[in-house]
Amino acid sequence: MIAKSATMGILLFTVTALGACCKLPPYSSSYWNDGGTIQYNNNCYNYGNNKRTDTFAQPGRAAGAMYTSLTCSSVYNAAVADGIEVLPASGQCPKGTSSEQDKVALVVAPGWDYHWYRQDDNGMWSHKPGGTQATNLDNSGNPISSPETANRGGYTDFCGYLCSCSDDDQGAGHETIN
Amino acid sequence: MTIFSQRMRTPRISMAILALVAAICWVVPSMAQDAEKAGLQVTIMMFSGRPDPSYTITEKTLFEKVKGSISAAKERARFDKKTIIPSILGYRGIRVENKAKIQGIPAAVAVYRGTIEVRNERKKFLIDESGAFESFLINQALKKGAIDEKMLNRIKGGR
Repeated sequence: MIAKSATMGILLFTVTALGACCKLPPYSSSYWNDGGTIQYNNNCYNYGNNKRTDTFAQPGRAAGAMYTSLTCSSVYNAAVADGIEVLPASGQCPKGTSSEQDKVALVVAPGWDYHWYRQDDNGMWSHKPGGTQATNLDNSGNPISSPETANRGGYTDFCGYLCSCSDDDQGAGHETIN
Repeated sequence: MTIFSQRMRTPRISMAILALVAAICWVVPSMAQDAEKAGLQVTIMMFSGRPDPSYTITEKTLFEKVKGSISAAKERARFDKKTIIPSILGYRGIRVENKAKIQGIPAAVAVYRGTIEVRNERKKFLIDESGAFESFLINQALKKGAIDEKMLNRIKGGR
């Protein structure tokens, strides 16, 4: 009886631990570009965190601490309140033997809007401008090797990088956003 | 006894049919009115993080204007992209959704810089002559307070 309980406990622990395991997402835009519910109701914050909510997620809303102005600091802090982690000084997101957090980048069009990019498992970057299709190209049609140098249109302020617990399945990121 | 029962039953059936007809007459027009009330959902696609500005067209005269703009537009013979809406940061067109299924208007329409994308049973691309349809939808957005002058300037500037 005790042995059975212990086995169940170990099994439960293993399942929980695997559930929290962070993985780098591949670039696979077809999941997001359905021309319907997923595409129109999931924005750059959803895509950046690889998390489908169908609510046009806003930084800080899930934590009850939404951004109050469209500035780098306000949107950045709101995302941190949601549980998105600050990038360590090493410049690398936390990485374990079987878990690795995904690097995401925040940019702002001051007083106007914000935007997120995510790094895919091939090291390149992709994004989803609002309700339009996800893409791995910038405003000039070039692949994005760095969001800092990509053509970002009016999103002139580069705010920095954060780390998100994603999943290699599209739309199944582990962060709590809404 | 049998004749009496049949006589009693006939008026009951007639009453039931009358009630059904009355119900249909009342429900069908009210459904149509609801559809028109729900109207056409118009979304100006310009933000990435913030929700895009949107408004609803509920006026019959404007339904006619939308129908006219689409039916008068000529088909674009060559269009090599899957959609006219670009995945860029900044203004990237207008989406019109006809969830209310207003007659004569496609299920979904998008317009951007001279081309109209129509999604019905099949997708097709039309020419928006002089950008008239896009301008009409932008002007309505301004009239209905969905966008302000600052947004209008960004749309015109393509930013």
